[in-house]
Amino acid sequence: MLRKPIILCMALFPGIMMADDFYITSQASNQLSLFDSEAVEIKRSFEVASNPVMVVIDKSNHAIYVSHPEQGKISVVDLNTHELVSEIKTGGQPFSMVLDSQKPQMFVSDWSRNTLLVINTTSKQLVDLLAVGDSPAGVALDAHARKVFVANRESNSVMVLDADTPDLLATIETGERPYAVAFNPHKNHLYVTCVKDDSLTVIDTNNYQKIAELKPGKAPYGVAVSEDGKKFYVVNQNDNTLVEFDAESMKITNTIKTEKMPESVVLSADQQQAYVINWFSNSLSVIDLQQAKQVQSIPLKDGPRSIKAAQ
Amino acid sequence: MNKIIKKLSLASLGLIVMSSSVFAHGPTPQRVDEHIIIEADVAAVWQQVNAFDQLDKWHPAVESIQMQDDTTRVVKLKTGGEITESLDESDAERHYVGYRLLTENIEAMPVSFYTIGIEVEADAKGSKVSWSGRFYRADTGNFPPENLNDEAAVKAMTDYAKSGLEGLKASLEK
Repeated sequence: MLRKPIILCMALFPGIMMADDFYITSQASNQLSLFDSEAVEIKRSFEVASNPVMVVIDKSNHAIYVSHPEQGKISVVDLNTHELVSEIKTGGQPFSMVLDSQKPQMFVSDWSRNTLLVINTTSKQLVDLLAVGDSPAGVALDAHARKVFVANRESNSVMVLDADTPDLLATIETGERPYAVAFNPHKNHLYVTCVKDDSLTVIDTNNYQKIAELKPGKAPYGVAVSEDGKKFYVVNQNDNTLVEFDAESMKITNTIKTEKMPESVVLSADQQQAYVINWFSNSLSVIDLQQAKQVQSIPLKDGPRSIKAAQ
Repeated sequence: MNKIIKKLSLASLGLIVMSSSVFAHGPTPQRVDEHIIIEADVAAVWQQVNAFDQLDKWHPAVESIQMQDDTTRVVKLKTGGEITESLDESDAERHYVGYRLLTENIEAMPVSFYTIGIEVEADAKGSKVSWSGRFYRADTGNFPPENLNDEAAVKAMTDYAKSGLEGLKASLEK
């Protein structure tokens, strides 16, 4: 009952969504950069604590969360002023983060303690530590069905945890060294990139069955799903490519050249472009999906790792 | 429910002690990016670079190579110690060979993982060979000792790439 008015309110004031802004972490240079996709430029870059890896944007709390695995903490940065608000000292190596759209909480994989951290985003407190497999990396959420997905890199598995109770719902075997995960809510499919055996595991999240093992390219890393759930995109770090998959046939529909060692991919608000950050080249590839090619390259600060829309 | 939380929390805390040696990507990946100009044509350089089982013929730091299978080599270093590498790709059109560290040996080479690409391109003087890759320090925990930290890994990987490229050049320009 509470959700409806909020959605209506957002629809009436689309300007406040800032759908054109993206944030990018540069791990080796301790920078967070704001990419304005309408102007197609980096609007500003600013220093954050050492070695930032992942970034998520919490609109409701006007906050940007940045993980620093090597510092055992998460920075909370003001979304408007870009000032540091506070630090959440988690210990361990906090890595990938996912916000819960239904509750003021965030799930974070802790690489070195083999746990999933639960952080209350109102109090900014670490409220729970849940045991998962070895070296958890990517995390995704089905907010509607209340399921959290965690890729256990060294256990070659994905675990499904209940988003509200500390219960383990399933453990599913994946390819070797699962890294990133993306959930497709239109199909109830989870895509898991497996870096070592160059595979992508597709899991049906209704029955927790592995339904396909795809071959996206060499060393698949970041993965993203289109808003309508019809396509998904994978970057291959050792091929320097972005591949587009049809979510229905699970076949590759396009292979697009990126720059060197692409790390992470997101889609533009209108779904017409893909933004790929290239770790080795320190660049952002602007890719026109219709033309299936890179149309622009924008220099980034040293060591780009993740990119997220500010919506 | 509280009982479950407690159990899981204790289980996870127990793992803290023993997880430091697990190879991980939490630390900052490091980069090696070296190149050299060789006065020999691309075909000749490529032939040398592409012979995955003959690294010992031109890399001055390598004592011998033993092939475990068609794509896996055990590299015995002159300083002692062995590392195992696995061939990912050999692209004759692009003149590119890619491989990765399969079995680490942090005493021989202070890194926990790497992927390396060697590429040969035409150059006015003959060929340009680039040696580039991504790797992680040997101790992937947050408090690595000096000999296993980022600096140690960068130094070792850079030195190894440089001496390799110089050895390759020497072997082709004699």
